[in-house]
Amino acid sequence: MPHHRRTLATSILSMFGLVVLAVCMPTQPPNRLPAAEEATRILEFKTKVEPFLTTYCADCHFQGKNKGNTQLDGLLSGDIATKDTAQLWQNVLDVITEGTMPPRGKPRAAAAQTQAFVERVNKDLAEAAKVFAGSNKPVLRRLNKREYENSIEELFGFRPNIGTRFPDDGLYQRFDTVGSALFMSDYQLDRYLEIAQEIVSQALPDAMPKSEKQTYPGDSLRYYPGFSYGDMPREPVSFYKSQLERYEALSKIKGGLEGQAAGLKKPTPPTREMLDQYAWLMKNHLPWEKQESGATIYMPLGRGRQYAGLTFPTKVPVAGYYRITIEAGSTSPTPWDKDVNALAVVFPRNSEIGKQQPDPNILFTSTVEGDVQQPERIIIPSLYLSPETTRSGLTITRAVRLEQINQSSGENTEKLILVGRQPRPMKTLSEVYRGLYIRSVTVEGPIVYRNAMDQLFPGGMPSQYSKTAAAQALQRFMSKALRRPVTIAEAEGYLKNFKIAGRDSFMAGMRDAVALVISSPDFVYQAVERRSDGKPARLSPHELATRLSFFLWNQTPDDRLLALADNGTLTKPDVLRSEVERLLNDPRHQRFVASFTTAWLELGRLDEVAVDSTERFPQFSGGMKDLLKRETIEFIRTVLDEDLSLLNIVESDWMILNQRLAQFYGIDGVTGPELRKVKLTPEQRRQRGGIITQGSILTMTSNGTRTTPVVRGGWIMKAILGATPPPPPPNVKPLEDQGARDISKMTIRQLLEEHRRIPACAACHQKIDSYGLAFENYDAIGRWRTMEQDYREVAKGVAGVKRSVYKWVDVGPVEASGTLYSGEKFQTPQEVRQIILRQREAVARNFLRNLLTYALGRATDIADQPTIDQLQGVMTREGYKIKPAIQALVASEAFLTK
Amino acid sequence: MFIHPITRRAMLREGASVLALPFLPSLLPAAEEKKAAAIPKRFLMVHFAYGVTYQDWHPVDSGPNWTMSRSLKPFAEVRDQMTVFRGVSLVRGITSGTNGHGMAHDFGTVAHRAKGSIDQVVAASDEFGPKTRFSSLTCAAAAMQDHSNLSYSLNHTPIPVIPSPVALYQKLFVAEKVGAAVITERLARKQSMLDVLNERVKSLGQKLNAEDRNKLDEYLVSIRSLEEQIAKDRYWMNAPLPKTDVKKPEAEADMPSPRKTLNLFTSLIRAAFQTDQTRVISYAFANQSFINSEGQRVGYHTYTHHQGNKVQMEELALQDILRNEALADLLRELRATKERDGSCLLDHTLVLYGSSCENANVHQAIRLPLLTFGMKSRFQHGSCHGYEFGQHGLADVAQTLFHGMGINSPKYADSTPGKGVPMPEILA
Repeated sequence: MPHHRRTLATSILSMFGLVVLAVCMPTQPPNRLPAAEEATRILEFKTKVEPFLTTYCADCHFQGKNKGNTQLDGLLSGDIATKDTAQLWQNVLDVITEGTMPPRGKPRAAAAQTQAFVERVNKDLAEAAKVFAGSNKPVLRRLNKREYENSIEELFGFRPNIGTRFPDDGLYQRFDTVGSALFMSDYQLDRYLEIAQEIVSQALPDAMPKSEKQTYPGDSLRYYPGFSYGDMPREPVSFYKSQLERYEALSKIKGGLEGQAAGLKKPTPPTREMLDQYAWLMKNHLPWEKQESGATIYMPLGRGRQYAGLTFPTKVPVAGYYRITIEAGSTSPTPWDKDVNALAVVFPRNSEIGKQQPDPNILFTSTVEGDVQQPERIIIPSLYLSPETTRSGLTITRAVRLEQINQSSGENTEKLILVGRQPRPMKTLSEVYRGLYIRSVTVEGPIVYRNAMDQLFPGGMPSQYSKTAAAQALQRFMSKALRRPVTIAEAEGYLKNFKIAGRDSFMAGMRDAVALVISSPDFVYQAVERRSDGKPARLSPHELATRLSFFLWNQTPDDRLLALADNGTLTKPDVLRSEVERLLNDPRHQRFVASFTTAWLELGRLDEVAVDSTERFPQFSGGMKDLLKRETIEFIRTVLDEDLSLLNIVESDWMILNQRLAQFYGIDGVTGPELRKVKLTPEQRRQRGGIITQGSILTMTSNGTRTTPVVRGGWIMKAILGATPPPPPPNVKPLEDQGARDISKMTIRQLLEEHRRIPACAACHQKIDSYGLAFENYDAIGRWRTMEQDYREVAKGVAGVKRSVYKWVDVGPVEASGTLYSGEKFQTPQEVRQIILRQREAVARNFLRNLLTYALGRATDIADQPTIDQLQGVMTREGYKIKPAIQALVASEAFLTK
Repeated sequence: MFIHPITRRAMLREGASVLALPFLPSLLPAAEEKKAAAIPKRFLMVHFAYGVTYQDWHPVDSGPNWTMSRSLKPFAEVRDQMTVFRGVSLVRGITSGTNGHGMAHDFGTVAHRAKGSIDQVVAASDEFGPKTRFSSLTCAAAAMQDHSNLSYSLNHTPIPVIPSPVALYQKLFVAEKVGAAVITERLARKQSMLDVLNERVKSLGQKLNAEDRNKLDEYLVSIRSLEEQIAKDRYWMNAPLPKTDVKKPEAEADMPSPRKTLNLFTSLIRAAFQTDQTRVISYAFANQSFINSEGQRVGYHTYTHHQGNKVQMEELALQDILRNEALADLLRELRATKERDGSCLLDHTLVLYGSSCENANVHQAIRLPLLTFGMKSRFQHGSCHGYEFGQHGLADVAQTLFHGMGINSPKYADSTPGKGVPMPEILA
């Protein structure tokens, strides 16, 4: 089996017609080859490696010089005793085979000499990797928030109501499944105890509650004014006061009003006319109205969030999970808006939980597809409510960030008030407001979940309320909850404070014990029992069931997995194989797809980009980020479920679309909100195909206003090809300080050329930029373009009198053709995708490395090369399908050992 | 995010202050002792995200006679109580933090090179956290988003913030309306639950190897820490909450300006220190949006990517000034508050103020905007110190501040190794 070190490296080597030698050797301790081979190794090292280092690297990286934080003297010993040394060698190989080192302008070795160097080092690294193999073990891993919630659902039937009570899980790179980064703290433990007690009070009540159903018609709803961050049309007097305060604060600072800040004119008091306008607006624009046996709440088309809504007088009798059905519709005229038109159910601000936060407690959000004539039934299957939290009822509001909505007029009422201009005559509410219509709300519950009762007392309540009965019941529950056989003695450990005097105290004791079990380290960590001598060992069947279930379902094992572990058959290869198949066929594998894809492709970065959807990109309206993320996740799910080649991520003849996405991408003939696979025409394929051309990726690799080819290029190298670009060197001055010409007027390409003129930047950016620039046909939110545009002020405003006018201005045609740093020429982005496709082994390898990190819950390094080599072999043989790779991963030594 | 592997030894060292010191109420000063005791030291850490318009911020020269820069003018009247740092990077010798902008978490933990944030190391120290009702208070202008908590526990878990002045007021000055019996019962019940879990940790530990046990220690430390809180709660439940001259704050301002958001907290921060309810507070500006001079609401993040646009840079400079005005308001209040010996609160309070980013437009975390104020008996203020890139990182500043405050802390994050204090020039 060929040992590819890094496929990026080898693919470049093979471009030069080189062949990496196959290394097939039995496992050896480090540097203890058979005598003859060891002699060859030493000879080759002395003649091929040492001179190379001393000739081409010493100037910058020897004898205390550590340019780029890299010092290489240590490599001269030839020993690869530690993983750090191996990693350093790997880095050296990478930069040499990629041609980044020695830097331009410094002497370089002849091709044959480089080849000899690379071959020898590769051989040594392959040997070293075998020795290190198996040395990586995941450290004790706490369940992350998602795994905890899913596991509670498996045990009790309902999801815990955590809200924002857990601190954020720690990440390793972007993975939330890595034990070393998942910490425990007193806050976390306190929340475990608190939430556990809420769970048991639901699951193990003294008496199962009676479920009731109550419908509130629309006309029983009350208007809830909510509050806003100044997004409602501002009351002119208080707005004037706040502006005056700001003005006075700034006036005190000498020089504060010079130059560009001259726009800060002293504000003038509101005129009679402005006050009248405001009064008129308030009077004539009812925030809500009764309508068609329901009620409609209107929101002005402004920016920011606000929570005015309709409150319905629900007061639940007991705390518990309730099913809520809302009949709702949107008054928006276009389907686009309907998608935007989302609702949220919240506790009003003056209730128990809401008052702690500036925002009310959002319990649920949903988009609204229905309209006033045909409202949609929106069902919240299970929502935790209590008498305290519903003291002031529940409120339904518009949940969207309203910044996105105003697409048609380009102006909004808020701004008109702000600058004191004549508001345009407004004839109807729907011209300026979008309405959310509610016909009725039905509350059903509390829902009775018997899962835990049945687990504890499968034959009904015990005849005697004894400690023995309690221990036996708890033992049954713990065997499921702790994913392994549990002794009666261990169960008794949880009943230390147990005092029985009849049924009530028995149940109270059971509640305490179960709450402790699900807060215990045995539950909140995925522990594996270690050998006392520290040597690696096979996972026990129960440990395997656990690792497998958390890998593919993100939850504690179900009854079937535990049964197969109990009878010991899970470790049989055919049984394990069919279980992997079963888990992947179950809808719960979607959790794996979503969380793995999010970590691997770094989709969280999309949240970090603020897209200017008010002015520049009104298309990027409410919920668009989530929709784009769903598109990418659904794409990966389709590749997995339909046994397609992984290489579809680089180039595909299909996309995942719904109506809104299709409109966004300019593709006709897709209607309805559900995502589906759509075949692309050859014409469409010029623009779209694979994930690099998806809005999610293209947006998160821009800065929200214009494209950033450096970031795009860096992402492609890292997430697709698995080559992490190095961080920028120290002390690089910002471009604006480098005496560059007026950079605000340049095209991106000109900016980057300016950038590459700076020698410190050039070396790496030649490479990174070339991938990014190849996708300049996509704008900052991923729309296709052939003309680069900039959003500029075309008419200067006068503060307090006239607003500046901004427009998209053509800067110059997009240069679609170019040359990659490797020398390959291309005319279109589609050709670039074809070039990337040639590096299929690098694509597969990077995917597998990420998959391994996710599955094992630990960082991967050079010691994992043999495992990745093996999985890569399987993937290549199986046409790059993902399922065979997952099967091979689960069957690998790395997965089966601890 | 890169987190250095932590050895068990290091873990124990970091957790030592927690593990080795089971909380004893006897450590707490009784009322009469309190009068005789020295005036306590306090620490306040304030962070703002997205850097500054650095051209206006950094003084052009160094030394005691540095020329006042435009953005620092609000501090002119406390100049002799202030130290200006120019040239300290977030991480020594590295140009950026864990992500482009340098958020609060980057500052608190020095780009996650440390497990516990700077304020929490202070809070864990004998003379700070253990002595007061609240070991520390972590506040923010609004619920922080996207992993941007400023404070991290010694176990490297983000500490939830107190998101509003109303919530802070409740915590400091409004007593729970249940009887002592209910609280006693609740604490006893919690203690007995922790007893059971304590046993479970021990029994699980026996099945693990050293590395896993090291990880499991986090759980054990968490139990200890909750037990300390129980002991503390038992002690303090009998002590009435102090009275304050501060009025219950109104709901949040309609339009958050940096000055307004901090000003709402200012008196409460002062009162918390003054009544010795806590000695450690962290505060994070949210910097989510502001109203520019055209009356438009603009996103702070988008705006910081100004691409050299002079108008935007100027608007941001004004925000810097407003924010500095806000801090100056707080400093003035600390200075106006007298201790019983006639000294002022600022004389006993060290304030660390800065951002984890210098220039958000290009995501640089070199030359951080960084200032310290107060506690003049320990710190030599009045100068601007200029450093070369690679000379000092934020960890060096933290390490030196610990030293100055009399906190015996092992090497913090990646602070310069070797004996002595990394930056003795700032000490008195």
